[in-house]
Amino acid sequence: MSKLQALKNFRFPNVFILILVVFISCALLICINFFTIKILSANRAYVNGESHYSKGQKDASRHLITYLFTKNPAQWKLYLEELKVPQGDGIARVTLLKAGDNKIARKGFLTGRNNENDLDDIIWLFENFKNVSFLSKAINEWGQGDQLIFELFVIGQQINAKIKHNILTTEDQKKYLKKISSISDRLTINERNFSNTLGEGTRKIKDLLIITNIFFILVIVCSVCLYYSIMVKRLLVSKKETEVKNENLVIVNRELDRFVYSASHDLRSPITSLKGLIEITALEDDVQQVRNYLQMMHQSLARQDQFISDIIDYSKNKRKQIIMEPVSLKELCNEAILQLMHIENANKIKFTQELLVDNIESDGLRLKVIINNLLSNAIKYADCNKPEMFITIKTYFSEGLNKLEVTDNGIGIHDDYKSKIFDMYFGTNKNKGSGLGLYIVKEAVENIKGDISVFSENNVGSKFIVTIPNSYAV
Amino acid sequence: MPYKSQFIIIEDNLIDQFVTKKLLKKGLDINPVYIANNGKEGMNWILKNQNLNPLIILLDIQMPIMNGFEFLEEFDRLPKDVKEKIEIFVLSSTLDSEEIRKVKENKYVTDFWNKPFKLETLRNTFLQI
Repeated sequence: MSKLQALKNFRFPNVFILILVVFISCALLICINFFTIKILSANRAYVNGESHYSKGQKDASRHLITYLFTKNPAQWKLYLEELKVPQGDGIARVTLLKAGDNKIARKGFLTGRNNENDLDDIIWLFENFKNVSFLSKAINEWGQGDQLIFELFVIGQQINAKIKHNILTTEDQKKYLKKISSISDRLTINERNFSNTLGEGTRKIKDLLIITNIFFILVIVCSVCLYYSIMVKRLLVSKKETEVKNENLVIVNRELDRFVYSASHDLRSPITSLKGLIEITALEDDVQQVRNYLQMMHQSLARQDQFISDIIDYSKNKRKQIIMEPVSLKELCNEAILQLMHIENANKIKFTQELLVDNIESDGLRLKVIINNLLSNAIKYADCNKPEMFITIKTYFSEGLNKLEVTDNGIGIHDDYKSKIFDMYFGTNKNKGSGLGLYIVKEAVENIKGDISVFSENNVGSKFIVTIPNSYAV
Repeated sequence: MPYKSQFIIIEDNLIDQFVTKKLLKKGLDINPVYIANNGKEGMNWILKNQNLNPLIILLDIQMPIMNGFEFLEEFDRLPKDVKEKIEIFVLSSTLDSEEIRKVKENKYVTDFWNKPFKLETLRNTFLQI
């Protein structure tokens, strides 16, 4: 029973751990997916921003070159307009690196033709991942690009100044064109690197995301499976337990049926005997005979009384909890003998006691039932044909156990019946007993986890040995 | 009043044996009445005293060693001419209707009486035999 309890106690937290694992896995999965999607979305915004950046830069270069050769001020204006795009991004980058999220950076990104809704993601990624390899590489490329944009800006200013002062020569035009193309080429490389780095990062993140998703889904699936298998196992166990309980109930019910049947018969038969006796007493005139009948009536009532007290013993034995307490075997034996002296011929029997063990720790009620029944049997089944009838009670310590021995030279037990004497209602002579005594003794002995054995020879005598465990822990 | 039939009581309860015997004696003046303490003793008596006069058995049901039903089973195996001379009345204190039905259905059982039986029943039954 205690083992089962321990098993239950052990199993409960197990299931809770599993549920906790599933819960945590789900939460982590949601968080990871949320942040990954946010990162990927920010990456997309960056790539988008880069495309505006590079378009702006390309258009600025184109307008500057046109301006260089046409000197059309409209082209200059368009150049300045387009150059603002990469410049805005550049301002955002610098301020973000220096001060974190700020209004100037946001304004810079807007100038860089980034969508307003992407700003949060862009800034969030920049702030939290600027030191992570893929973004720091990209930012580095971006910085180099900004440097080149600045160079382009400086060249633009020089061209504009020369055109304004009308000192632009064809030589200058060639030189500037060459410079602009070289800057443009280098910028293209930077821009490509920027996109590639982000793309690579995105792919890595995607791979990681797939792996973590698979991992957590596996964890969740395994946990749920384990949880169900544990539940199913537990259900099976409890089903088995219920089956065993049911079986026991069926046995108990059958026993109860038999008990009620036999008990009703045994309770009733002394009454019918009494009725019969009353009937013959009514026909009797002889006072001496009537006295005889009265004596018989008394016997009949005593039998019923005995039966009722046997039933009470039986029920006490079944229902009452085992209580370990100091018990004096000597007292129990003396009490029992005193109580049993009323039985016919009891005063003709010589009682001998050899009690080497007296005070022990055991269940008093059970021991009393055992001793009373064994002694009452020894007295009831004494052999009156023998010149000297005796009953010996011994207690002693042997092989680490206390033993109680009741020996008599009574009528003994026939070999055919030895296997049945502990059965409920078994009796060879119902005039002497209810057939419950030894059954109750056996149950009482089992209750205290002891043992009982019988040595008997027909017409010679019987010996019952009860083993009482020294200290029996419930 | 003398009877042709002999009587045997198969009954384990000493007081009931005594009461029945007394009633047979007092009420019907039947003597001797034989007594067996259980089915086995009853069967042994019958086997020993075959080919005697007609016999009336007063049989209890609940007895140790061999009960009433087991006795009836054994009885079934007896030779026909022995069985013909025997009449069985079952006497019991049982209230179990199932058991009573089983007894009444048995072809060898003439009647079932509840214990203790009345002198009236005895007279009504046996004075006609």
